[in-house]
Amino acid sequence: MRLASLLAILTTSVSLATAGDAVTHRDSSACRAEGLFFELRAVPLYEASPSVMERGELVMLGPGYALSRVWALSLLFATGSRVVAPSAARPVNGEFALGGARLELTYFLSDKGSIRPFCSAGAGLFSIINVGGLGYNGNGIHVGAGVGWEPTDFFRGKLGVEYDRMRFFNLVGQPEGQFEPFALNALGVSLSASFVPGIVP
Amino acid sequence: MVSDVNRRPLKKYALPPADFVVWRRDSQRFPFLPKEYEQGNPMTPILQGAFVMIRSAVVVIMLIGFFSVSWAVAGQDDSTHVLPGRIVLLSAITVGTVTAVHLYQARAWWEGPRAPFRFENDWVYALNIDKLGHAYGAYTLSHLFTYSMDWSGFSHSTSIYYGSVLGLAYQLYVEVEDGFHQEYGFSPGDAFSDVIGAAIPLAQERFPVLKNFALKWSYYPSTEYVDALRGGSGRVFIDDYQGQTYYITMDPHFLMGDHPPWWIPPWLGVGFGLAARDLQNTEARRRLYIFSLDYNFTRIETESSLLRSVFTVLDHFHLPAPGLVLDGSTVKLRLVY
Repeated sequence: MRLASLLAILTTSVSLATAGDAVTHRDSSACRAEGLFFELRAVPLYEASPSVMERGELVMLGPGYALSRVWALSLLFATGSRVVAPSAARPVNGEFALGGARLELTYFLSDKGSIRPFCSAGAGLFSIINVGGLGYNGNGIHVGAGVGWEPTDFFRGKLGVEYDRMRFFNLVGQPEGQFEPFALNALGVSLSASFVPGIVP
Repeated sequence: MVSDVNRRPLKKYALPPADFVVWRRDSQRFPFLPKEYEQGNPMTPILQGAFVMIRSAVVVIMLIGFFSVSWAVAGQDDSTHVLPGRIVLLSAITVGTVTAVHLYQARAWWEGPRAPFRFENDWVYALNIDKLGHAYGAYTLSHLFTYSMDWSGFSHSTSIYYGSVLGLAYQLYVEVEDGFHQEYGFSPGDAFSDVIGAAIPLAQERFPVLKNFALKWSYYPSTEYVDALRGGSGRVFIDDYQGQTYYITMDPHFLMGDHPPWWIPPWLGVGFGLAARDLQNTEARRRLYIFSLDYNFTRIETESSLLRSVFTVLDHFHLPAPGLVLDGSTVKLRLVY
């Protein structure tokens, strides 16, 4: 609930702040409405559960396709780590290397201007493995919001926050998962840079 | 500690042989859904079926994708000069090549036991020479598809756009197959390199100054690889990272304005290369840095379209040239590297 409120406030604030901008700015520097782009994103993750301290980071890179000026779909490959604190609710703790991929849909709240707020949501598949080789497969969902900035027609930067939930079910390397599924929740600040070639087929 | 260089070193959870049968059967499950969700769930057979279909359909999707691209683009106004005969020929060659390469890779890499799909970071593998290999592979494949579509009469922007898409698609298909293999796993780092390699041709098209730079590759079989072959090993040269060197080359003439010095021929370039040695020995393994002269074949003017094609292909390889090799604290001048 607190997260939803935070995202709503952030989105509304950015929308108000850029409302005038949308009217007065030209679109000559804006990225193409449709087409391929490549996005690099870094997300430091912080504790999201009130009783459990976790941290980690995600670095993601992948292609995307702008369906229109306001809709974009991206496939991001992820690498990073998660530190899981000891907890009675989970069978594992320690530091894990994380790998995965996520599919994400982004919606920009305005189609005009070089500064535009956005919200996004997606789902992905992830694996975490610790230094001892103990690993888990799982899936994840995330939602986010923030503001995008297009200073030129080939670059887009984005700053936002995202809530990230991963749930792990399978023990990698074992045919049967002999443990209770567990979830990792985190809130992160996302910073991304996109290259938009602007080449029209 | 000595390990087999032909295998990624992160595999730490090999199963005992007795479990292999269970493992293989279990790999038909969709590994990212909880087992309790599957049990008694009427959707489970559908999910499992979809999972197997997705896994099996990767190659088919790629091949169909090529035809779809051809079909879609052929209908566009700016592609009226597309040559149907060449498209058919090119499609046939592509299908044949992809199938042959798939069979080759299946024998070389994926013959061992399969496993449920998983991701696995391998940032320490082969001192990241493999990452350069992935980027180079995507870059070269993207160019190959681009040249082929150019030849078929597509507009250059169309060729380079779909060339990059197809190059990346093929590289990711290889990575997905790795994800199902017990010894490998889907490497996000490899995927990063694939994405970067496929994006380079698009960046070069967007910023023409980048066309003065290129990725190149040279190979000389390492002693370990030759010994392994003589010992009957089924290793493939693509995995012989000790024999490979990856270069970023530059045509310096763009820095010299309209009147470059007469003593620098137009085909002469420079390159910075990266290689690795003694990868099987974790104590002695190290990177080599190479500063070398290079040949820009595409700067050689010719009226022959055949020669131009040959030069274009050659321009993806670094041929032996004088260079400086930095090996640890030692610098060596090599007349041929």
